[in-house]
Parts: sequence; C-alpha cells; structure tokens
Amino acid sequence: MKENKSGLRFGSVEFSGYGAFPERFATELINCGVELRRVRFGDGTISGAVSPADYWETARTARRCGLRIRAGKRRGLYFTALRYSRRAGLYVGFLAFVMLTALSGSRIQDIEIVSSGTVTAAQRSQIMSILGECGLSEGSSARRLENSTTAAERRILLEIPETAWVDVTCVGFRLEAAVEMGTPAPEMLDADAPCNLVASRAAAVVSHVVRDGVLVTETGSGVPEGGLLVSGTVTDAAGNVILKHASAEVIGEYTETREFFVPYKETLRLPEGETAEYRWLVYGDDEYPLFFGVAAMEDSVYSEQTEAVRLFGKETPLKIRTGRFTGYVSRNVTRSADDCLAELSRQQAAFEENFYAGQEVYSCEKTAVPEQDGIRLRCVYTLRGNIAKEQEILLSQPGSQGAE
Amino acid sequence: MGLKEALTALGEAPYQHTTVTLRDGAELIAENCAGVISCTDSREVSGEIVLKIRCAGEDRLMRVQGTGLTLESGGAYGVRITGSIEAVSFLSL
Repeated sequence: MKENKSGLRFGSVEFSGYGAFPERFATELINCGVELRRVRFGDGTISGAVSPADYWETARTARRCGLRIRAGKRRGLYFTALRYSRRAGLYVGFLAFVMLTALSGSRIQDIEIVSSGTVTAAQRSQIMSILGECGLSEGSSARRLENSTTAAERRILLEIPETAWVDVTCVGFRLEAAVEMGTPAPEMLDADAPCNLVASRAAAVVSHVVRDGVLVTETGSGVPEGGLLVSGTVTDAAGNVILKHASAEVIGEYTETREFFVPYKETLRLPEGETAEYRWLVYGDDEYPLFFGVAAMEDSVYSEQTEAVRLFGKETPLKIRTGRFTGYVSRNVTRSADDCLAELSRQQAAFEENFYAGQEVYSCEKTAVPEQDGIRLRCVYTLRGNIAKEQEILLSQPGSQGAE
Repeated sequence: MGLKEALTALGEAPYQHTTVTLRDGAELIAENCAGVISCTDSREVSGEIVLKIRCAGEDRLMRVQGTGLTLESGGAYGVRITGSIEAVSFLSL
C-alpha cells in the first residue's frame, strides 16, 4: 500500500512511544478513524506514522491511554510549506511578480505593424507617427483603447492613400496594426488623350459599335494581333486632321484549344482528416484565446465562424470565434471511364467559369481521347469577345500632327 | 483447518468470508476489526497481535502470530497486518 494512495498525500509524522497500554491506544485510534501506518509493537513500546492532521488526535489518545509519545520525522508538502512560511522574501517576491505582471499588462509594451503585402519604411514611419498622435505609443495605457484605435484606423486610411484596410488591435500588452495596401490601379489613358484602337489578338471581326474615330477593319475582315481597328486620326470636311480618343467595341471571333486530362488512378489530398477546434472570446477589437498553446495544425484547411454570446436571449458585446483546422489526408482514387468523363466535364466547366467569363463561348468542339493511364479531352473553343485595345498616338514633335 | 473453514465453524456465513483475507502468509486484512486486544514484541522474534473482529454478529478474538508484524489502519474498522505471518487462530472469550 503506497503512501500516496493511503490519504497521507500531505505528509506524515512518525511517532514512537512507550507506556502501559499500547494495544488500547491502537484500538482507540482505529475506532476514531485515524489512518495508522507502519505500527510496530515492541516490548511495551509502539511506533508508527500518522498524517499531520491526525497527529493531535494521536497525542490526545496517547495521553488518555497512559502512553508517552514523541514525534519523529516529519515529511510532506505541509511541513515543507511550513518551513518556508516564515520567509518574508518569498512573499515580497510574489507580490513584486504580481505587480510587475499587472503593470506590464496594463501598458503597451510593443507595437507591431503587420501586412501580407509590402509596407515601405516611409509608410511605417507615417503609421507609427499617426498611432503616436492618437495616444497609442509604447508605455501608454492599454485600457479602454477602442476610441483611439478607431481614430487611428480612420486617420491611416485617410492619410495614406495606398492603404485599403486597417485594423488596430491591442492584445495583452502588444499593439498590432494590421495594414493592407491596395492593388495599384492599372495604367489607363485619359479619356481625352488621342489614341487608336488595335486588336489585342488575331481574330475575325464579327460586329462593331464605333463611338468615336474611324473604323478601319470592317466586319468579316481578319485582323492580326496589333492590327488597327479604329483610327483616332480623323479628317474633317475642310481637310483638317484631328486627333481623337477612339472609342469602340469591336467583337472578334477567334479560336483557342485547351486540353484536360484525368487519370484512371490518382492519389488525392482531401480535407477529411482529423479536426481541431480552437475558440477565442472576442470583445470589441480584443480577442482572448480560450486554450493554451498556439492555434495551428500542419497541412490542414482552416475555417472559422463567429457567434454572439447571448444572455437570457439578449446579445452581449461578447462573441465566440471558433476556428476549425481540418487535416488533409491522401486517398487513392480509381476511376472508371464514366467517372473520368464526369471529372473532365467538371474541370472544363470550372475552366470556362474562371477564364471565359468575360467572353462568349460561341462553340466548343470536344474530342475525348482514351490513353493508357487516363482520358484526355481536347476542346477547340470558338470565342467571341471585345478585341479592341487602346494604343496612344505618340506625336513625333511638339506641334506636329503625325500619328503613330 | 484453514482460516475460512475456521470462520465457517465459528458461525460466519461463507459469503461473509471476504471480511478477513489472508494472502501469501504476508498480509492479513480484516475489514471488521473492533480493536487491538493485546500485542507482544514481534520485531526480532516471533510475537503476536490479537485483534477483536466482529464475526457473524459476535465479537471474536483473532490471534495473528509472526515476525516483524506491522499494523496499518485505513480508517475505522479496517486493519492490515503485514510481515511474516506464521499462524492465525481464533480464541474464545
């Protein structure tokens, strides 16, 4: 019988004694429910061990039974704690630790700017300066920051035109400014800059709507890539040459060939493995993890949802965010010919949805070719779409009217 | 006569025999011990511990003889004796 199973987890006190009635002493202790350990009877003597909580009862019983007992070795957590309980340094150190933790948690100790894109050094400096002006600097209080963070977010968005999204959050003693920059606008000619319209690809013109400029390539004509479709150089009735911003919609017809292949046997990685869920308590801009460690799982797909916390049917400002990681697993798939065709059809539909959304699929000639390890689908698309592309008219010399 | 036969002879029903268990001559557990009646020095030489156990509604005395006998109590009425147990017998009051 080990001591940790015997109720003596908090230590034991060994005792030894002598007297007239050791057996009566043992009987009374047993009847009192005292846990006796290693009791040995000698020649008018008795020795054993009891738990610290039972020692006073043991001593009283010994006096009643005419025994003189004496405490021996004391073991266990109770006596270890008792030994250090008079050391004032421990209390001072503990209090200092608590105070330091409380103080450091109530002040901003670190500011970090995070972005999935690129934030230049000048932009970082400007963001830090805006945060400072909004009262968010190292050493400032980390309590009730909601107004300051909102003001900082608005100012960053207004003062740095490249920013598309800003979120300033204080987690513990760390202030995190998540800044995402917008995609730069593509180069576009001014609406009044003189330009021609050229073919963005080789095609046959099937229709056109010219709003400004002179149509050069008529319907039914073929045009190579870069060929002139609508000219911005216009001659008026008096014979004067005017440069205009050509504007038209020229629909061209062209073909493209795509191939899709689906094997009979394939190893797929599917998100059907074990799942791990993590929860955060969200209050305003702050979120507190309801778990220990880091919310991460290798080789997995992540999804999350946020639910409001309700109390007696009413929404509270608290929210619970649940993040779920689902691990990928490898599965060997064997397909029949029909399965391969169905998968090819799915791939083709996905391709058309992703790449041909802005064009009209006029016709599609499909040829399925069975191969040794799968089926290959060859699609010859006939597409129709706007092939007009602006090309600026560059003037060779200032004041001249030559056009490129 | 074994311990269980002795208990049966004393009037204890067979299903109550688990109240006293003797294992390998090294451990005796009595779940219904009412007290320690007497004891002798068993540290170096053979000695004895006499227990009062409640058996079939009556108190009986059980003598446990052996060397290096150690008594432990897990609470009220539960007693365990370990050591080199040489003999267990019942005494009449």
